[in-house]
Amino acid sequence: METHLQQCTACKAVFEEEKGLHFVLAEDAEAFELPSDLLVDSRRELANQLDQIEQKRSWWRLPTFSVVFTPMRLLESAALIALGLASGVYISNQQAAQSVATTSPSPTSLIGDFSTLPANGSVSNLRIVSANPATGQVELAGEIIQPLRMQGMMSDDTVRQLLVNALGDTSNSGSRLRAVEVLAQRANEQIVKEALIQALIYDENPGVRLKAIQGLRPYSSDAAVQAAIMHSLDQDMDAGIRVEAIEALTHNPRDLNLAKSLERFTRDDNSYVKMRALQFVGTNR
Amino acid sequence: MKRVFQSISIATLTLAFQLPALAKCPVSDNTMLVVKAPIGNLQVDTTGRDTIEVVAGNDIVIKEICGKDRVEYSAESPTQIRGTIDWKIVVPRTVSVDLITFGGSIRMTDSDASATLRTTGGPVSVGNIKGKTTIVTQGGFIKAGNIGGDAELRISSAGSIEVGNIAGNADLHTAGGAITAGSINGKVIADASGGAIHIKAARGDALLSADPGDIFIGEAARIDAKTTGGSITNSRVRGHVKGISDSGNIRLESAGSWVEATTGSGSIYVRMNPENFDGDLHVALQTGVGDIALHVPEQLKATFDAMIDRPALNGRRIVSDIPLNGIITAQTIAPTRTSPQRGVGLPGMINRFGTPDRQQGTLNGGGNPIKLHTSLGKIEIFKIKL
Repeated sequence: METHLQQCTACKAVFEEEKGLHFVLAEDAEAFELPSDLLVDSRRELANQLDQIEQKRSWWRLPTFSVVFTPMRLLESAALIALGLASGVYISNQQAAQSVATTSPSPTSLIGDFSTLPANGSVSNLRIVSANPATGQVELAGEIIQPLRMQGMMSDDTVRQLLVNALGDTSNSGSRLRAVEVLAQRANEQIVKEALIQALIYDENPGVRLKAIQGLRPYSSDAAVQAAIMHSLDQDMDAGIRVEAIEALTHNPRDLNLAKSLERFTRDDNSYVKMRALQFVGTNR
Repeated sequence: MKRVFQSISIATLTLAFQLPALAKCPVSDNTMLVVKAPIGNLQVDTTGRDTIEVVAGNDIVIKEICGKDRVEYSAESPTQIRGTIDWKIVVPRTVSVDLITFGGSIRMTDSDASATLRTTGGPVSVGNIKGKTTIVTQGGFIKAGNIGGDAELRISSAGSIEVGNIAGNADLHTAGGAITAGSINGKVIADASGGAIHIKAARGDALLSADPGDIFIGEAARIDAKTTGGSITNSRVRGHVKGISDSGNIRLESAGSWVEATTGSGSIYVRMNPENFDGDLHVALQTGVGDIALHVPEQLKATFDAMIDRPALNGRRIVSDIPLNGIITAQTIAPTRTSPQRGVGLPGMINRFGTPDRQQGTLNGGGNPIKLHTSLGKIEIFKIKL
C-alpha cells in the first residue's frame, strides 16, 4: 500500500487528509467524555415520558423488568412485595392448619386454648406450629395422653362397641379375656354373637375360646353359631375346646341334620368326642 | 352229648371269671379300688357297704381281680360302640380309688379316702374327698368339693378348675380356663393359661401365674404372682410380695414385708402393714401408665425416691405426707463449666415442663429403699398410724 501511495499522488493526498482527522480525534478524546449519570438520567427521563404515555394502557399489563426506579415502579414493586408476603403467610398458615388436622391422631389435639388441657393429661410429641414474637401468640400441636375410666350400661351402644373392640385387641390378651367374660352374658345380641364367633374361631388363647364357646352354647341351634362350633369341633387343636364343642352341639338331643353332620365324628381320635357323637347319632336314628 | 356238656361247663366258668355286666368284690377299709376303663364315663357312688360293685354297658366285658388290699377292674376296648358307655361303680366311702378312663367323664360322690382320677378327655366332678386327691383330664373341666389332703388338679387343655377348701398343699394347672379355690392350708401353685385365678386364702406360699387373667388371693404367707394381662389383688400377706402384670392394676391391702410390683399399664396401690420393722421392708413399685399410691407406717425407716417420667401439665404430680425435695438430674440442669453441652435454662433451676419429675426424701432418718416410678400418672405417699 505504501508503494502505491508513492506512485499515486491523488491517493496520497486523500490518505494524509484521513490521517490528520484521526490524529485530531485522538488528541481531543478527553473533551468528548460523557458524564457518568447521563445514561441513567436519560433513561429516567425516557421512563417518565413512557409512564405518561402508558397511563392510557390497561392496568393488568405485566410489569417489565427495569433497573430504573421511578416513583411509579417503586410503588409497583412495594405492592408486589406486600402481595407476595401476604400470600406466603396465608399459604403457610393453611399448610400448618392442614398439618394439625392430618397428623393429629385424635380430637384431643390442641386446637383450643390451654385451659382445655385435662388436669391429669400429659402431652407428648409436642410441635410448635407457629409463633409470633410480636404478639406473643403461639400455636402448638401434639397428643394428649390421659387415663380413661368410664362407666356405662351394657345396653349402651358405645359401651358394647368398646367391649367388642377390646375382644379384638390382639395386643392385650387380658382385655380380651375380660371382654369375652362380660360379652358372653349377652350373646343373644347379634353384634355380641358375631364377636364371640370371631373369638371362638380366631383367638389364639384357649381361655378366650373356651369362654366364647360357653357363651354361645345356649344359641347352638342358631345356624351361624352351629357352624362356628362345628368348625371348632373339626379344627381346634385344643382337646378341651373340642370337648366343649361336642357338648354344646349335642345340647339339644333332637336334630336330624346335626346328627348327619356329626356322623364323621363317630370315628374321631378323641374318645370322648367319639362317644358323644355316637350317642347323639344313635339317639337321632 | 358229653362234649356239648363239657363245652357249656367251660364257657360258664369263663363267663364266671369275666362277669360281663356285673362284678362284685368284698373289701375292707384299706382296700384300693383300681378301674381301667378303655372307654366310657365313670360314675362312682360311695354309698356301698363291704363290697364293690361295677356295672358297665353290654358292649363291655369286665375283668375283675379281687385281692385283699387291691381290687382291679378292667376291660378290653369294645370292637363297636353304639352309644354312651357308663361304668356304674358302687364303693364304700372308706375305699381309696384309682380310676382311669381312656375317654369319658368321671363323677364321684363324697369319699373319706384318697382318690386318683384320670381321663384322656371329659369333665370330672367330685364331692368332698378327705384324702390326698389327684385329678387329671386332657379335656374338660374339674369341679371338686373340699379336699382333706394335698390336691393336684390338672387339665392339659382348656377347662376350668373349681375346688373348695384344701387341707394340704395345692397344685392347680389348666391350659385354658379359670381356677377358683377356697382356703388352702398349705402352699399353692396355680397356673392358668387363659383364665382368672381366685383363691380365697393360702396359709403357705402362693406361686400364681395367669396367661392372661386376673389374680386374686385373699390371704397368703408370701406371694409370687405374674399375669400377662390382668389385675393382681391381695387382701393380706404376711411375707413378701412379688407381683408382675403386663397390663392391669396391682392392689395389696396389707403387706407384711417387702414389695416389688410392676405393671405395664395400670395403677398400683400398696398399704404396708409389717409386724416386724427390723426386717427387709424395701418397696419397688413401677408402672408404665398409671398412678401409684403407697401407705407407709409412720415408724418406718425409709428413703424415698419417687419419679414421674412425663408428669401431667396441670395436675398434681407427686403428693406426699413425707417431705420430699426435687432433685436435679442431668437432663434438667443448665450448662455448666463441667458440662457445657447439656441442658438449657438457668443454672440450678429445674425445668418442669416436659421433663421428669423426681423427688427424694427420708422418713425417720432413712433406711429401707422405697422406689416409686411411673411414666405417666401421679404418685401419692401417705403416712399412716398402725
